[in-house]
Amino acid sequence: MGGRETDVVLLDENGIRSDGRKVNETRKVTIKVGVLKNADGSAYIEFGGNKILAGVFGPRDVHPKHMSNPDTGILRVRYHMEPFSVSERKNPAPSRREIEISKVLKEALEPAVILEKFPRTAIDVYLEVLQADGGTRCAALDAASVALADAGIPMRDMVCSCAAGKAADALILDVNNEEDQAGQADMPIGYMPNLGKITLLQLDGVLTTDEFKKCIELGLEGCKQVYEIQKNALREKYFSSGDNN
Amino acid sequence: MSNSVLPGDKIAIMEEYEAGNNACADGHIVRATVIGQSEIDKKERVVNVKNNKPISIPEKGDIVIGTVEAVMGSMIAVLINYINSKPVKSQVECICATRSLRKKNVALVKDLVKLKIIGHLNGAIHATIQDPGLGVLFTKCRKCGMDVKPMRDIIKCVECGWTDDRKLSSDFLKSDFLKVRE
Repeated sequence: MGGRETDVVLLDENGIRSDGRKVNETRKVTIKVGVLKNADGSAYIEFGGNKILAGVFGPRDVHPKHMSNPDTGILRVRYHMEPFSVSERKNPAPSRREIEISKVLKEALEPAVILEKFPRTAIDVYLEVLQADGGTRCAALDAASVALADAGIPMRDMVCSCAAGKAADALILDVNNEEDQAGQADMPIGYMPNLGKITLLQLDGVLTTDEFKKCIELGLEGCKQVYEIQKNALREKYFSSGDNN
Repeated sequence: MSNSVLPGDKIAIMEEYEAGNNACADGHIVRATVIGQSEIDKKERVVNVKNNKPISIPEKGDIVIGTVEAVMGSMIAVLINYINSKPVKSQVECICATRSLRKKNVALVKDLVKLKIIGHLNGAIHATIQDPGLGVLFTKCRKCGMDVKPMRDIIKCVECGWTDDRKLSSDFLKSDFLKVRE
């Protein structure tokens, strides 16, 4: 059911996936904080084969002025894939997909960021995908959240993100590129772990109601694992003297 | 008592302490909103978080130095260049009422002025220029563009002798903020 025809064995008889992971295992995630000197806040994430750089500027004056809101600040997110981020050169102009992902990431971050404190200003989040390997929007959201915290922007909670999905008729955590292409469903989830609120939920594919519920539970488990890594990355930069609460 | 906290961390419960600076209420829980140190004020029953990385928007009580961008009948708009002597890139503006000052020109466009932030109201940052230490730090002759010197509470051009009105700061021409223009 669903998915593109492929020779790759997505799940073997032992329940091991094509990249050697178990069904409920995420790829290796590493996050570095404060990697850009000129940005107010920044982060670099390696989420499996994904390599993404996030830079945050602001709060700052809004240009063009008519975009400013006298009651609240505005959040602007630009998700962009480098021409060399995929195997075939990508046109650097913003594609429909990038525009859509920029929009959903903005809407995923907005519930967390306290914009009301900064009326008539803008917070700009720039996300550059240096290398893509499936699940870039989740990895970009993780990096954006860390970069916002690094910029000192007040947030109700961090936003962590991880995808769950279905491949070879099994529910899997953290869908990679092969599983995304040949699998049956992909469900990116954005989550505020302390508030227990989902800020991003998309589904590409078909799931039964029962599978949908299990998929969300699986995805939230992945989000919580990523949240621990985000916290450790921030603590390493800010409280590395050992004072990490 | 202080603890290292990250955004979203629980720092108190509402029954004991209210959310102060850089903290927010989430039902009965008080959470940190920034990375920093939580500080409990047992006297005021408030929990605050000291931000490890302050943002470049001035708060009430901050002293700012900026460039006058617009002069209106009863107020001036100032582009903020420094907050508490630290340069900022945010390019935000504040407005300062000049109605109560009995001067023809409190400041003119492109003058460097020192102001004190009095609050945020209706989406605008409001400042005052009334203290003796506040006012114009640097200006030029409006007629010939040459240097001026202070004469009591007015200024006089060293070249053409034109005299003009300004609300001068006690630091007028004394500070090194002339570099701001360069």
